[in-house]
Amino acid sequence: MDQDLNVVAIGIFVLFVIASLWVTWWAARRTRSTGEFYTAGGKITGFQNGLALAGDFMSAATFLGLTGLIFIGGVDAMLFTVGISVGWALILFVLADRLRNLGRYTFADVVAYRLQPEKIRLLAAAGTLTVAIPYLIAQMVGAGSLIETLFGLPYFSAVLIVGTLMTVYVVFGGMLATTWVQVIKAVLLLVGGSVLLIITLSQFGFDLNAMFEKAAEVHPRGKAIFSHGVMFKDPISIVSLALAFLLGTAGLPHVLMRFFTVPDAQQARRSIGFAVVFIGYFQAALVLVGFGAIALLSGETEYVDQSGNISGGANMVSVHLSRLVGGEAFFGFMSAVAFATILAVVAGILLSASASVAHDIYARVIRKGSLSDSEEVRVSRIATVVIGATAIGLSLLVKDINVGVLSTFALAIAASVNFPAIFLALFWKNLTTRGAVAGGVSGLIVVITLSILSPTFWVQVLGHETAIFPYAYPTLFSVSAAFAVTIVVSKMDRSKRAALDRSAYRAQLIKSELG
Amino acid sequence: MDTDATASSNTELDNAELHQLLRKRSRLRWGLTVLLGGSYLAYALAGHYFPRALAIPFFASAMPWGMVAGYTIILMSIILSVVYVRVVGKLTAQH
Repeated sequence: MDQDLNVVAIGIFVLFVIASLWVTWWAARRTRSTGEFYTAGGKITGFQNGLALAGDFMSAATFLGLTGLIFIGGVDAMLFTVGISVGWALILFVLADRLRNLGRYTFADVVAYRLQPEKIRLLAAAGTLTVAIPYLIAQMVGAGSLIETLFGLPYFSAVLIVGTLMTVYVVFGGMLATTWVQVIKAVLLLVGGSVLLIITLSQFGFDLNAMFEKAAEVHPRGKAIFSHGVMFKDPISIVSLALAFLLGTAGLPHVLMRFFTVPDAQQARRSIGFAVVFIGYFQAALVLVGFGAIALLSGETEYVDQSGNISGGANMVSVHLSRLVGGEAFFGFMSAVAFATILAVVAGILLSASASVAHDIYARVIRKGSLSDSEEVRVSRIATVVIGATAIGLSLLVKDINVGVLSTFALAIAASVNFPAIFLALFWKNLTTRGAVAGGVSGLIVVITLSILSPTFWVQVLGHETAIFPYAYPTLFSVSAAFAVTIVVSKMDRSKRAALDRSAYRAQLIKSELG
Repeated sequence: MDTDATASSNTELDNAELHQLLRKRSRLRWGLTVLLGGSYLAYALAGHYFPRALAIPFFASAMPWGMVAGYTIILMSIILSVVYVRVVGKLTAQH
């Protein structure tokens, strides 16, 4: 890949930036109160929110990463694409109504509904920041390297541009701007992905069989690309990975915050329903694009070398394919879409992190609710700038960090700390404050310890010979630990507070089901 | 949460009709969860235990059974989500 400035890509990207800044300016005039800043005043419709949710999840990691995984692993990588679609449907069945009916700005509002608020908010803030910061850095580092390759801009300027824009969107436009930037990007990504799919299929006269046969013929592993059981060797890793996707997505703070941007539970259900449709469609399309890439890119020495390595890394598969089948103009369009994708996702994560600091920690725990509305908005804006600047600084320092490892780690924390607390608060009468805190802390400790001892970190990053914890993903163990500790400690809790926590469940149940 | 609201909620919960609504919704929620989550888990583990069976071509096509199964589950998640939104909307409207 050449390092020249990519004029079409930069042109389209500049258009996107102008549009997004206009949206931010428009949103800024409508963002005064805390409700408007955190959740756009609850006025987003189900359809818009569905697009925004799909946008939140269709990050660079899913768009670029999954096509790369299919290119390498064949049908085995469908474990991810199918898991993602199923995960979103389960969020709809299990969480959508109850979260919307109980929450206001952050998921801590939901867990703290009947438990002792200060302790729960501190736990939720820890769960939010330990997920949001690694996720933010993973996206920004990924963005920096991607833009370096696609646009020919240096890493330093790329990170600075992404970091500054995301901070501007959130500080001035709050949730309203973040939502609309996300909606525009989701539409661009869905359209771009569909066009890529159509042009790719047209290369085979829309004959799927011809495409699959060609893929098996040219891939170094031949027909083995149609076999499962290649990427994952043991069932425990498979179940752990599945759990990370199913439960981790349901514990991502920026995704959970979106439940509160719609007026009622009916719209919350519709949002997730739309999100499942968009995400499911996109995952299904990506599988075909991945196989198309195998069939078309293999043997093209400009993109793939003799041993099957992709130039610029596996994440570049869909971008190379756009250039091969769509020419320079389409390649420029898809590069700009990839950049826009990252920008919209980091803005959402930044907003959830600053809401957690300003609302959960400062307004509720430190000032115990004595803060005025306008003061809280000011604190949120300051928090946004501080977290944004920290993320830019850290991303510049850790340029060579493995982005995939970092984002999987964030997902594992979300599954092990946030999900058990939310799930048990909603569905288990006997949950107590003490149990929730003990379970959350244990989940966090187990997930961090096992991640460090796992082959991904212990062997690949630290360079030891064998890993102490043999499995690639810790989720099965850390989620079980969090649930077990929460349940045992809650059961044994005989404190006065525990009695209060349990007795408030009935009222919470009614509110959570009926609004 | 004020005590008045709690007291009135408790009386509401004793209402038989409301009980029935909660039971219906809970059956729908967990039924769909088990159906979809179970299908996914079965698919993931089948890939591990029966890789050969899933690699067999789907009838006369070049597409393997494993891929057809994966696509079926993606389609299921979309259809069941639409069903859930519709059914819960109707159930809630009735009350």
